[in-house]
Amino acid sequence: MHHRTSLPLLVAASAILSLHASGVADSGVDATSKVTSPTHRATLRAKYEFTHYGENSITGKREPWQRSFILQMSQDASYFYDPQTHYMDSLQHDPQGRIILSQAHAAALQAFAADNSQRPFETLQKQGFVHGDRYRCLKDLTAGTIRVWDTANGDSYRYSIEMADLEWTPLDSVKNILGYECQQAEADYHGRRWIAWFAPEIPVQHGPWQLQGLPGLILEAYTSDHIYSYLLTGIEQCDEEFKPTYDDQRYFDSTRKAVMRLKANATRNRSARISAMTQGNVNIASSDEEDEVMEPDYND
Amino acid sequence: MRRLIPIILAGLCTATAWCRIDVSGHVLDASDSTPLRGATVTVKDRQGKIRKFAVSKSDGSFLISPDSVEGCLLEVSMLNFAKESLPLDSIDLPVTVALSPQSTMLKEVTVKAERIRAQGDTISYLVGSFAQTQDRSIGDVLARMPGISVDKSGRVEYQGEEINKFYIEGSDLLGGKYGIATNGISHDDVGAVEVMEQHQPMQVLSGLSFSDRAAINLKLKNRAKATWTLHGTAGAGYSWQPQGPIWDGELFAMAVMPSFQNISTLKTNNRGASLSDESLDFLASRRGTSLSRYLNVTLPSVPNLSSQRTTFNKSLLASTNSLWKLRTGTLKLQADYTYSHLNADASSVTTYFLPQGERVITEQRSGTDRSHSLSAKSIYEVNQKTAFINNTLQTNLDWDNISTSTLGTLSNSQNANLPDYYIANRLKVIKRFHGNHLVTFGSINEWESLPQTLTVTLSEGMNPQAIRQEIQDHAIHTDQNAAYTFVAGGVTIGVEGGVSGYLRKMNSDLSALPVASPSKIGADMQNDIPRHLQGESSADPIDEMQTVNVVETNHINLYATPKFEYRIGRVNLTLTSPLTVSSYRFHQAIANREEVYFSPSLHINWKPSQRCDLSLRAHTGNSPMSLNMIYPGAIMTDYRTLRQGTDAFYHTGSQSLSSTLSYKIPRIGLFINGMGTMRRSNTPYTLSRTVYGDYAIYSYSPAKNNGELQMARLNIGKTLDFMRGSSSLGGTYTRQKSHLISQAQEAINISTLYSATLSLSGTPLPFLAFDYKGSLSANRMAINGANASWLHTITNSLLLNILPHSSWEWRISGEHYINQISADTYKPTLLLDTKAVYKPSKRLEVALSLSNIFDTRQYSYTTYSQLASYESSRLLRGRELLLSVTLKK
Repeated sequence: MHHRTSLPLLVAASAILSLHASGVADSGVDATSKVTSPTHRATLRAKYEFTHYGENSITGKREPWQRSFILQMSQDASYFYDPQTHYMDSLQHDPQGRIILSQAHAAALQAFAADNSQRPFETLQKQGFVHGDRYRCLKDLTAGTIRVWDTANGDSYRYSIEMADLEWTPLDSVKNILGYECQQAEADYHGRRWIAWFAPEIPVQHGPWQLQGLPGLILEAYTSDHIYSYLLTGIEQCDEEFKPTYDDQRYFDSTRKAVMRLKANATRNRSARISAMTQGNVNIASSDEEDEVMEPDYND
Repeated sequence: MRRLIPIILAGLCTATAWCRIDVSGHVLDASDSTPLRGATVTVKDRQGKIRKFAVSKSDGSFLISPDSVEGCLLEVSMLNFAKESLPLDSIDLPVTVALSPQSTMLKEVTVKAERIRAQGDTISYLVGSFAQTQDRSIGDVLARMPGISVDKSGRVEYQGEEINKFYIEGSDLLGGKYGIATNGISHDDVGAVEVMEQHQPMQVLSGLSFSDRAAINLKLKNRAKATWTLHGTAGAGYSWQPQGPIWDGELFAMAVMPSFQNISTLKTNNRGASLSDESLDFLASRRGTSLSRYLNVTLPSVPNLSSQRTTFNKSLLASTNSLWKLRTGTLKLQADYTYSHLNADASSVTTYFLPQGERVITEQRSGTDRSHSLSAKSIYEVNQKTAFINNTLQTNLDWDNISTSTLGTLSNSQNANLPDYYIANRLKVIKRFHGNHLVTFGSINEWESLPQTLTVTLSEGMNPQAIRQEIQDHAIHTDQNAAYTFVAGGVTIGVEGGVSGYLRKMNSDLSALPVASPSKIGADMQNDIPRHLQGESSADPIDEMQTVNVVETNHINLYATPKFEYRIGRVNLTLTSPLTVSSYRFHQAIANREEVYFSPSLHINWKPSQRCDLSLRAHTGNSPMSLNMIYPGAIMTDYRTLRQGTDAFYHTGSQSLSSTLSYKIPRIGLFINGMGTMRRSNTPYTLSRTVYGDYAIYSYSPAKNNGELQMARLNIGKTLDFMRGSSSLGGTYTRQKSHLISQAQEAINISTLYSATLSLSGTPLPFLAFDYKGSLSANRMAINGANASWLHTITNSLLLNILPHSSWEWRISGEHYINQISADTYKPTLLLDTKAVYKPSKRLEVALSLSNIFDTRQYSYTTYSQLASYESSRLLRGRELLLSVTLKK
């Protein structure tokens, strides 16, 4: 019984893992050329916890999905990334790192072969050898643009957004976040109403994700329905280069709305696929596909 | 006209103050008048709320259109510039705001990721939230985590129970030698410490066999994974006592990769830190060869102060440990070498106030202990859900030489050579079938040789007398066993059976018996005066003793251990009842015999909730006496002690009952554990001591002996979140009753000991961290119901770490001891140290330390009795100045 199930599973797992590790294999020739060196030096570093109350496609219930992001800031620019993704990218672009990764993959597969309850992805995840969120962005206050790198449907895209899309209205409420007095502001941005809490004591116009332009660092921000939120979990002064970006040339140039449309389609297709695979036995309760993308204004 | 319009408009606007107005201006750098881009310009109302805002453009210009300016403030701020505030209704527009450079100090915060998090049976401690600035290794931080304790030798306990595994990123690289990791890994490299409660290290037994021990896993930070981590410290300086140069160095390298791990370390110092504890195997299984040293030559004892103050040493430790994850299992290779050279000196002056005048006796003792220890281990392990294989091959080679010299009443010198050679192979194979059947095979083979040589040169009178004691002691032990276990419902039933064999041969030869010293003083003495001064003369019992032993203590055992485990809800019950049939062959020493031993034990564990855990253990049984005690002839164990074993075979009976309680609320950082134990033992023989002249003779008398031990312990650990600190409070009580026959009189000794400890640490102010430890202990000895007075020891130590700047630290620390020597003699000692640390970067640290600032070199005290005074003196490490540099990669 065990043998019957474990062989196809093993084959499938190796196939998926080799796809996953393809970055390892094809970047073997000249890794350094694919690293885009940073042009800014950060003097501030903040950590944000991102929470998305997404719908569980099976149960239809909303469940929190969390990730940590780092925001590196200089006076004129900021870089927002998932440190886990950066760690994986940096491993894949280092000869030693590639050896380590391929050893980790091999070890995970061996463990799976020996005992098929040890799923390779779970093993790798436990060891911290899995990418985090692929979204990252570089905000250039001088140019007034935001450069975004993201993935949709398995492909990598990059595009630029104008900062002017976001116009805040300061409100009266104040509250204290981590010892900083923060004032409330709100804005309609790309199809959602965002509420932000900014600290005038930290005189930079940065914030998490694409949020920026307030007279003080944004420590907390959420959509009016609380489905998406960012909360500061740490801040420190530093003197370090912005993290380099990897494989910039592998990204397709696109536009924000096009990428959002792709993402929404991917979600819809997934619902349809699951419905088809289960002969309609499982129909995803999602009534509002707009929840599944952060910027639902792609059809406007 | 064109010029006039704006002026009129401006005038109108200021007059009405309610119409919308454009506030414009420029922001400049006050130091060089260059325009500043990116400055935040805000208009705040009377309540201080921001109404409108803008950002200065690249030419420094800005434009804001507030609804009103009355009572409003214009604020311009920018990172690394001082903020400027201007009342909007009294400034001329456009306004030029010049900002002066000023470094911005932000309140740096890190949140509030909970310091302790519980997830099922795993408790996760966030290392960064427990580490204090003065900490270096992960061991320093472990000791601060409530629920976890680290004893002096480095042994780690969780809720009062010793841990059963120490993992690094889920791999058991070091086995029981985790002291290498706790003393070596920098706490900066560890993200979290995970405690896995009721951890069953063998996956094949999961769900089948209960474990009440916890394991610890270090979760490293990403930057310490998948790479080599290196750090090293080199320090050199000068010591006032022992006079001369001092050094202290360490190199530590660690690699934690998915399929390979290594930790290697090299340490050396002559500053009082003995390194031999760091490579101790805390989880070593008991040696089946069961040999123990007969010789008992020790260095003069040291005062009851911290060992760093009293150890005169040269120490070296080298250790390398590797782990490879292979296709199916893991391979581990470990090698360690330690060298230690210890010196100790003691002197005492006893003055007897006699009718003929005072008599002063001076005794000076000094000793040197040189030991080398080399050990190597190779382990292959497969740990899967259906199969477990472990083969461990190990060797331990120790060489120990102790030499002492005593000048005084019984001037002598001793030289003891105490090597120990040990080789063992242990194999264990477990296979799980059909989910709930287990078959186990085990094989243990061990060999040990423990030769011992003592040469005593007595320089009594004109003719020095040399006595030589030689001992050869070898043993081979083998144990082959098999077990079958199956599970049905919540019941696990198993039986283990096996055969073990033991061959041991001991020869000893004492070259000559010492001659008792003659009388030195007249017969009109009081009891206060030792016997050797009283000159009692009687027939020499020593002369009748044999000086040669030829002993063989061989045996073969057949044993069966039924085991029964029952789980119902949250209760786990385990009953084991080993039954052993032994056949002993002693050759000529004593008569051969056959014996049966039965010693059942019961363990009940109840976990009424995630927070609470209760255990009860009971054991009763009989066992053979230690075979090392069988020797009819005398062995000289040190220059004034002769020991004689038995020429009969005895059994020992014992009963014990213990209960443990642990309670925790991880969310608020509260951990409580308590333990109570009672143990009784009864032996048909009693140790007997006869003092003859200057010598003490120990032998065994056939008299019933009941020993009793009662112990209780309570520990409470709590985080102190308001100052990022932690605290722990503990108390112990021990009462032990033992029998001894002294000078043909039965003596019942009862010793009672209480102790209480408190430790506190934290960072109450941004520039101040502290560590406090206090302890109080009291012990009393009663012989035949006559109570001696309680003797107290009070110890307080405090360390203050002042952080005037992010790259500077200044530490001041002090230790204060009050040791009660006798009913009315107290010995206070105060020792102060200081250290300055400069950390120009995360990779480099330079430290200058001055320890024992007042250069206290002696620990002396005098006690008085009616007719004598006793003055004792020991050496302490004097003032020390050390400069050290630490580099990290």
